[in-house]
Amino acid sequence: MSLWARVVEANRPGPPEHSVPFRVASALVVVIAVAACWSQRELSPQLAVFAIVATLAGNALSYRRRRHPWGPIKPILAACVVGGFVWFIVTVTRSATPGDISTVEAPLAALFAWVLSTHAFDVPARRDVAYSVAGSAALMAVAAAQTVDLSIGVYVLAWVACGLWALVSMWQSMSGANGVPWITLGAAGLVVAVLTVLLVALLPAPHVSTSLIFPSSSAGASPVESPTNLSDGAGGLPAHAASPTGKTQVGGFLGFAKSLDTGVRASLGDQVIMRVRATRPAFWVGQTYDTWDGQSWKQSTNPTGGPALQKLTSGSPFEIPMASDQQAGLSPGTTDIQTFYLAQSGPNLVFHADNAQRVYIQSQHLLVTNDGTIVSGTSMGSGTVYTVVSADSTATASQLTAATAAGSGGTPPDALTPEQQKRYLQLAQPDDRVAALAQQITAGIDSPPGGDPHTEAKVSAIETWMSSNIHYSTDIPPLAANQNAVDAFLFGSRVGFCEQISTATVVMLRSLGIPAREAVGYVPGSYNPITDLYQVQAKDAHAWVQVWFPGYGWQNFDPTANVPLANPSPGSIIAAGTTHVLGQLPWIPIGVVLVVVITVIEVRRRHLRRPPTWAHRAALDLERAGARSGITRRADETLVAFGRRLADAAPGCRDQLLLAASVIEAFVYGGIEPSAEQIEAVGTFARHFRVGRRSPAGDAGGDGGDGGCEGGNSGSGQGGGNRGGEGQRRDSSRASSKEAASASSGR
Amino acid sequence: MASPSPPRARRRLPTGHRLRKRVHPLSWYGPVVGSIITVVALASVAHSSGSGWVQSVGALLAAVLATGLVAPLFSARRARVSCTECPSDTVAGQSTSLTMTANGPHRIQPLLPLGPEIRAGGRVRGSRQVAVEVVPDRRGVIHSVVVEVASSSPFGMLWWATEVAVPLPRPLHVAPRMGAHRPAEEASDDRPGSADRRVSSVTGEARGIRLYQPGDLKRTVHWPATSHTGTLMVMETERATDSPVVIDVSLPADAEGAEREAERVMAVVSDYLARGVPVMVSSREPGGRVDGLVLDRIELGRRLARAVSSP
Repeated sequence: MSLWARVVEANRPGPPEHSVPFRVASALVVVIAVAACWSQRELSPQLAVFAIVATLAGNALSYRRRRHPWGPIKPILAACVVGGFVWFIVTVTRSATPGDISTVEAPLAALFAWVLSTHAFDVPARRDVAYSVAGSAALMAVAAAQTVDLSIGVYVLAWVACGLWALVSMWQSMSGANGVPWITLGAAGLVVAVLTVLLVALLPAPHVSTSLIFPSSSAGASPVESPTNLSDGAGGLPAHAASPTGKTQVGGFLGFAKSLDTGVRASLGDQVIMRVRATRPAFWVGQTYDTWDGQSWKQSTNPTGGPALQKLTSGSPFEIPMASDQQAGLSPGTTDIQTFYLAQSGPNLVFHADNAQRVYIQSQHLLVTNDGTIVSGTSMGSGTVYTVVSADSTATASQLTAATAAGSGGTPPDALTPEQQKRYLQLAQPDDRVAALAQQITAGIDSPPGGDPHTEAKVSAIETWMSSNIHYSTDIPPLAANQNAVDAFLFGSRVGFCEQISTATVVMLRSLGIPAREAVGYVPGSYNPITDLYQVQAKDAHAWVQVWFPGYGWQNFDPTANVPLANPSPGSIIAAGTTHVLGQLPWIPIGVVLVVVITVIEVRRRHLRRPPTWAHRAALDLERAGARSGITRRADETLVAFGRRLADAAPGCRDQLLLAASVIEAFVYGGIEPSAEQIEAVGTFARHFRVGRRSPAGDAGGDGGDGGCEGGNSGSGQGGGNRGGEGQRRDSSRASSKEAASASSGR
Repeated sequence: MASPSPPRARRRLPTGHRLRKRVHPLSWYGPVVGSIITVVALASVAHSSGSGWVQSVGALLAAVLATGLVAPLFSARRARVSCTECPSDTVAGQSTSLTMTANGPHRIQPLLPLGPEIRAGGRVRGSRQVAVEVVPDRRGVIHSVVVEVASSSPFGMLWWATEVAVPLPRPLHVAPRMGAHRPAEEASDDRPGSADRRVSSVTGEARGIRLYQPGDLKRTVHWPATSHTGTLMVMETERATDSPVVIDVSLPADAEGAEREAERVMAVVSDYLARGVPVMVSSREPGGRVDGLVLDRIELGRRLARAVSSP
């Protein structure tokens, strides 16, 4: 068959599809997919309603005319589809940004919805209906592409349920079956669930592509009141400094302002601040503080102005200039892409992993300080999306040790200027107790002259000391006026949270001559393997330490918590969740119930399989004995004929075998009730014959031996048995093979 | 007694026909390629957009597609078909109905002899009876028919099938087609109640009266005896004393030639039988040469169905 003939054959219209459930399910699948796009704002309400109405009407019309499709419908629909494609190309050409997939998705969703709704008008055959079901998958993919939360899960579940209904209806239509194969369907559903979990767990998470332009959008953005001010995110009002009454509206965290008072902290909530899709987890820094006054942190070059402030007006994407103290010549520099989806109004800080290089954001301008803090010129409302591309500068402990060692022996790759040294070694006032404690903690770590090869070891030693000697609690004792917060923390309660711990660490490091600063921002929060997004909650607001290393720039250290080095695999999350759930189950009662259920089922099964009469039991014994000797009873073989074959293999048992077979057949087919002695004798012989076949002697008997006959029937039943046997041979010869087979099954 | 072993189909299949007992997919290119394209498309969308939801939806879809493509394998493996009723005689090229029992809503396609595909629909569970039409294309004795039993449960995405040799409850004799030879004159047929043409038995001396049996000629009804007994009685007569026509069937070795020859014999002998001429057919069967009087077309068909070529 030529290729053309195959194509023609494949496109030959099939027989009309009469199944109403199949058509209803397929229409619902499309409707749900359209609704999912609508819910994700991929489709306008008008277009979604039109698509839904057209789909339903088209399916109804197709069903009515399934036997005689209207001839001109195909060219009309083809023209509609071509028109849709033309519209799509024109729209994308005019409005979409090349490479920016997010700007294509809405026209793509509209195109898919248009094609599916027009296709609904010409679905006379089963294959056409199936195409509708398959086509809805594309629409669902478009809807899911921009989803950052679990809200689409309802649509996915409904879509899958209707899809399965459509498939089962299609099978019913194909097979002419009435009803649903619930057991098969249940098993298939279980397999689908297990396979889905396995695929989600085992497949690598979809990486953020580096070849596209990244999503960014503004939602309710407005210029901040003072372009150089930090905004609280609510109408662009200035953010207040750390104060319990400060209007932060970001879950209670008071750090995103001009200063950070370590003596106060509002309680952090569980509300979702933002969702982040990132190449890897990281500390997403908002701002850093360099000036410590004993109670609060301040920015010496904060966004309120100053020569260190740079205003970027190039438009998205903004190229972020690298500060001199952030040069990280030895860092790996791998690209780290983060897309932030804001779920709450927040400060106009652009959170990012260290060493931000490029920012995609819908803003007129950006303000960048020389410590790397990035401030948007517009407020950041809920729904704002921006993407940051960073060069990952995270170094390992050995690299950091080697970097500082190299600095001791030669010219450092880069170094802090004296002004920077002064800035990041600044202390409120000399505190001998704190310095002495720092020296004590790092006492065993020597510094050779002219260098500091053990900076990393000293930081680690202080971190270790913190974890051993500090009690983490947000319920901190009140701080008296003019009291040094670090002194009170280290030599007083030793109770604190991230701000106290990181501040104390910075102060101790500075007292040792190590440049350090305080950073605030967010840790990744929980990773959702379904959305591939980190869900950052208000309680994930955090403060940590940044220590400067030659060649690697500022490195993050966290005496309070740790951030994983890589995205957790979905499999590990599912495994951990499963282990947790399994660990919570009451296994002892479950085990007891399982044992009871299995026992009941087994007893019931044995009861049902038990031979109904002594004759069936004896016949079964003979058959089992024969099977052990390699003589299987044929389906068309009477018991007497089988007994003869057995007797040929065990000549010593010939009489007993023929007697037993004859008596059994006389009872089963002739209704001749033997005497109690005969029953006993036949049963005993059959049982012993079977047992004898199982023993080694019996095995030998299978080759011609007589295992089992010695303990079998002899004596009293012999005479009568012989008579019965002779008398029943005629009956047995009349018994058909069919009857024998039926009797064998215990009928 | 013991559970019966499943009936073993007799593998009297024509040379060259290999029974595909292993479950295999039917027309799998479209569903499999379509599924792969769908999953790959979703995977590419997932990895170009970085969307975990697309990957999750794709994983779900892949699981559904994989299950839908593979699940019928197990259903097809459990498929059982048996034949419960079949006629004893038929004619080559003529549709013959067999009653089969299937243990599920499977699709049954007779392969040997060929026949139209049927769907054993109905309830999801339990056995159901279906009438399977087969059309033997040539004469012979059929002990089993080969059917392709297919299932696409539960999603109908792909058919998986196995070929089963279903033993018939009785041998099906397939008579050859009526050949091109036509008799010069057609015997008058005034014998309602019987489709079989039997050798006329009214040509000899009266032998006795007996009960009417289906197939007896209307004109043999003995009305006085019928009136006397109240039951339909017929008169039996001695057969014609003239010697029967002897037909020596010698079939050539090649199958097509043998078929044509058998068809010619069928036509010739049927002509004699229609004219009431007794015919003695001498033919070679697997057990040896058989000489015997044929009384009707059914017996003639059976003889020719069993006939083999001469060595």
